[in-house]
Amino acid sequence: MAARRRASPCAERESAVSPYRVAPGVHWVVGRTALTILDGNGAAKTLGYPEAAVWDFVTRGYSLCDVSRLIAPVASLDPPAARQVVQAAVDGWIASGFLERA
Amino acid sequence: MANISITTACNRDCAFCFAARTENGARRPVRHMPLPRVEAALDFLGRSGVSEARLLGGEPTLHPDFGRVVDMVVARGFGLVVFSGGLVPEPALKKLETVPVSAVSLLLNAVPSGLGRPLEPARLEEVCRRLGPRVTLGVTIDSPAIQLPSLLDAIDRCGLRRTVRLGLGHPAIGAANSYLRPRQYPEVGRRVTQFVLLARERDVSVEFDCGWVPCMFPDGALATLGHGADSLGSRCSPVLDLLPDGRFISCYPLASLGSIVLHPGLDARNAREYFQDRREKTGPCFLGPDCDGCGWRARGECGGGCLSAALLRRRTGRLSVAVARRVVRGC
Amino acid sequence: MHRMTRHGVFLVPVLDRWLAFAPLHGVAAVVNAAAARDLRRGAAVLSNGALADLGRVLRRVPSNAPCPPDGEACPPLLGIIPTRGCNLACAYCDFGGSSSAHTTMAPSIAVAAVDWMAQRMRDAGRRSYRVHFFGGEPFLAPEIVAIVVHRVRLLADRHGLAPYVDGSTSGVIDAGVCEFIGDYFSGIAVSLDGPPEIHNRLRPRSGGQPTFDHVNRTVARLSEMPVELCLRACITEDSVEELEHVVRWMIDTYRPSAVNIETLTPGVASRRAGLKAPDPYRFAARCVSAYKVADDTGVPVVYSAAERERARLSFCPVGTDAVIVSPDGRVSACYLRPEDWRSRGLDLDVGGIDTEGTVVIDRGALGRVRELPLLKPRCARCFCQWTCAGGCHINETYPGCAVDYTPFCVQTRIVTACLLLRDAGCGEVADALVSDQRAMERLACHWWDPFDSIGDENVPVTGEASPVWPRGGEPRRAQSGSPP
Repeated sequence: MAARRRASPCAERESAVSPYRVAPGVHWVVGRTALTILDGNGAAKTLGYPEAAVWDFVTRGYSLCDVSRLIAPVASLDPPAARQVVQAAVDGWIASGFLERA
Repeated sequence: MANISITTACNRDCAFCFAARTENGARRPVRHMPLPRVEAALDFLGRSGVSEARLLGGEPTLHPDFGRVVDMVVARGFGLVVFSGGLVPEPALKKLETVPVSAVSLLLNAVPSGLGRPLEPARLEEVCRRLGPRVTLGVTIDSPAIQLPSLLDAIDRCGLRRTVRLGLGHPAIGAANSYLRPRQYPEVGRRVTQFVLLARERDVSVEFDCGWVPCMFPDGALATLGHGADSLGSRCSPVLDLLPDGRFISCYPLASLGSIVLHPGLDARNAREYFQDRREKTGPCFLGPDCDGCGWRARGECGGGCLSAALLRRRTGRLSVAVARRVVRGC
Repeated sequence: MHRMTRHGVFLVPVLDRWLAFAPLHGVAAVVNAAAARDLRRGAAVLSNGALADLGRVLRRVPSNAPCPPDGEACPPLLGIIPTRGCNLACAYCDFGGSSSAHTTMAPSIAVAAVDWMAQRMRDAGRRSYRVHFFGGEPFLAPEIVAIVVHRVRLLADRHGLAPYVDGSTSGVIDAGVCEFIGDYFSGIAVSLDGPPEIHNRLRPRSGGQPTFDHVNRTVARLSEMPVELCLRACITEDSVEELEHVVRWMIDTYRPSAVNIETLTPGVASRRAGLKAPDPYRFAARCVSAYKVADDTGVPVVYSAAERERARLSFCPVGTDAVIVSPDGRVSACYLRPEDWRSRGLDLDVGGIDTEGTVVIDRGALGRVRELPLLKPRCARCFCQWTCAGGCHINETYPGCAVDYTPFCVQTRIVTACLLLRDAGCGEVADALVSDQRAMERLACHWWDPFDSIGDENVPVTGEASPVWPRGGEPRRAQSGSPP
């Protein structure tokens, strides 16, 4: 889903690609309505919504600006609230070792 | 339980084989287990309290010292189980004929007609007739196109053990073998249910190997499957397959989870603990998204099917769906 | 226009026998001429045995006849058309293909549709929530697809619904999109017309480049994933003789969940490309052979018009309350273009999205669409009226269409009859039927199939000559087979 994206409205403000990548050894599995992150040491974290959607967009290489833009309609959030949700999720995943800065 | 692969040599090329290639897709070179290592493997079985020596391959009867291996197993009082594709060379066949019926079982992986692969029926028929009740027929199902009733005819005709063992083709990670897709499970479940009922009418029991799950079967069918269905849904657990090079793997489909070298201090319990730990580190992963809302899983009656099949659903930070070599081709 | 009279029991000639079919009773039986006469006279109920049992069953009033929905719209599915744009220029496509507007649905429209559907499912007490993506090529708008999918999952989780997302695609999509489909979709139908030499001729890119290799990779990738994979093949005059071979190749190569076969619908584009629909009799024979591949392989082969699992009033979502939302926010019953409906004098819009961003259904429009499947004069005498149900409301049984059977009708009647024969354990009769051109013509052109007068000797027999659609010729009138 990361290919053939329309030109990001975020391009002028910040990088149009994601500054994050999935940490080595981390996998995830998409379930029926949730998503489970596996850290490779047996620990698992299940994400409900909207965080599952945030994870999907981030791991497909969307910039945080674009992720926020896409999460807003998914979760019925206004842009500032969407941005907050996205940032909080990403910060948490970095702290947990699921994501790292590219 | 533990299996000893005494050779990688094989005289078949079954599409579903998960032993033919390594986890990086290369064909396994031909290697025979040296007799001292066979001895060490039997020691392992002894100290583990295992009463059966289960010989695998490739085609185990192709081991150049197959007769000696049989003698070693029998002399040490182990029951002998041989997993074979059925094309048993004459010296090995003669040797097996000398082992009492109660002490040996040849699990013959039949390839029922209709799958488009050569059967060499004449040789199979001869092996079956000469070994008779030492033979248990088995099938590895890697597509819904299975024709099972002919197995019952073979059992009657050749006087084989009145049991059929059904296995599923599981994906060997990285090995690109043919395997049954979970979306095809229900059709297989339907056909197998019909076969179980037919087999019962002819006084043949059906056993299920690992990876079968309750949701494969039509509503109400589980009750008709009998005792053979007791293991349905059990999470696959470390089998312990000993390779000719002396390494144990959890099982062939999960060879990529790592290995542990056979040594005098190792027994089955601690080998299983090692692999169970490796398996648990993969985290919760099940056959399909619908496992999330599954009642059997919620009640602990199903562990989620073959772990190797489940692990195919894992995603990493890059495009992670490998395309099997056999699939990408034109007509 | 008046609603057509529907019948429940039918009798059609099959070689020297008769196929009795009662779709509302779930019964199909093969009887000889004498038995058919006895059934008509009611003599069957006076004797014992299978014929008497059949007669008794046929005399029962069915309790499960499908009827049009009523009340509030309760869609079986929500259709989303993220864009009508397409990256291919298929030789038979009259949708406009790559020249169609690449307008992409706005996220607000997508969310409005998804939210409305979720609320309807809750209000109706439904447990599942189905969304289908149509196009153009829906995955040319991957962000809208992703927004819809995630919104559906969010609402499903919130309201305890089981989401079911499926769609159709040309298969010329990126690997990342492919993985998204594999992970998040329950089902996907990929158009694949056959091996490269067939597929590339029929389905090139907009610049003329071949697409088979790309589609091959897509399908191979999807084949490794849990998603239900349906391969959909369009059969032409040139490819019909290879049908069985193509189906078997698809199943062996890709291990799909199903293979769906359909025949080319003649149109401007196909005529310009020199493509023709297959002869209906040849198609029927080859289609029946292809169904045998399903028996061998365990993979269903489907010709949609011959689906007989349960009786239905409509061949497609039209008339079932399905709601399909277009990129511009139109809310319709059909995914074809409005100009296609209008050319048939139809208006299949059922609502829209108001200024507050809410889906609003026009009850009057909905009522008219619900009525449409009942207005099928051509189908009134056909035994497939509860299975085929008239086929496409735009391309086949549109208002004012001819009542003569078309090639689509011919092939559907023969295929359906053959499948019913197989269901009844008479596969060899089906094989004999498709090997006998005259027998196929007799069945295809049988003028009056209904047999609602079990036991009534006084029902007049319509001995009118029926039109015959011979192979390759113009329709002509000829003597029909006489009823028993």
